[in-house]
Amino acid sequence: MRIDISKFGTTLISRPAGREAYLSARAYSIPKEGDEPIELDFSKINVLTPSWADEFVSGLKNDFGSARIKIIVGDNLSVKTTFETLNASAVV
Amino acid sequence: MKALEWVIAQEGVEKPSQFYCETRDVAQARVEKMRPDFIAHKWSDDESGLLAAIAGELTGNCFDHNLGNWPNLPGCWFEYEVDDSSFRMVIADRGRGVLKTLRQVRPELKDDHEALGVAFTEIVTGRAPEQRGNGLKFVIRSLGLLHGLQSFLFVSGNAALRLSGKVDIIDVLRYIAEADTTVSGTYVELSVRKNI
Repeated sequence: MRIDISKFGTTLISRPAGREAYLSARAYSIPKEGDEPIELDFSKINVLTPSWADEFVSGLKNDFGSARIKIIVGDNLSVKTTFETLNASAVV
Repeated sequence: MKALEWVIAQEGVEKPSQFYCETRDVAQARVEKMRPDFIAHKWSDDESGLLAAIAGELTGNCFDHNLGNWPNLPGCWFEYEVDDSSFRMVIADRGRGVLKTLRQVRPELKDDHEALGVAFTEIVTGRAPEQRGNGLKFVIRSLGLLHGLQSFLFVSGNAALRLSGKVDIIDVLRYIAEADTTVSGTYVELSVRKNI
């Protein structure tokens, strides 16, 4: 399944907002059963920070396992730089 | 009143409504307003996205590390100007500063200079055991991608990180020196010329 992250907004900045988005996705967007891959599509995002991404992605990885989570980065430079930063510290 | 005067004032501090963000929600709303301003002045998605993300991380830090512990006035100063060729931003807070924050997890830190070096180069956060500490590394990485970077100044305590022009983000420690003005919280200035 694919989650269009722009459904949570296109300027994704703060930790509290990332945490809230994660809780909402866990409750309403992801099936409780099954093990199909979960694609997080950031391709429509305009602004992303490591704070928001860390809360959202790390939360889902903890709940559903890293192996199921696939991140679609897209072309936006703030999205690319966010995931480069997080990957460098092995957070996500 | 200018941001630097506001952040170093000892007492009787006013709340400059134009730039003052008492809560995170206000700061976040102002960061979200940046994008239409950039579009109006024809900045690229890459540059505007990075600059807004830097603003988001830096304003977020003001609240993340001071919530419930403000020495006096809570909140941050967030000011920016953008036109067809240049961008300037100031973010400041009257919080505890980098050294006091990082001593929560690194009590051996000896001074502001050392604390600033750790903050910008190591994955460490005063909010451990939470997995945080990427924000300032992201800021440095982003600054390295902005070809029009003119200057970046980050002051906390009596230490300052000063960058100008094309910077070597691998070796930021050598850009840390004594601040011109001591700031108990944090004070950040960023100037960028549009990369046409």
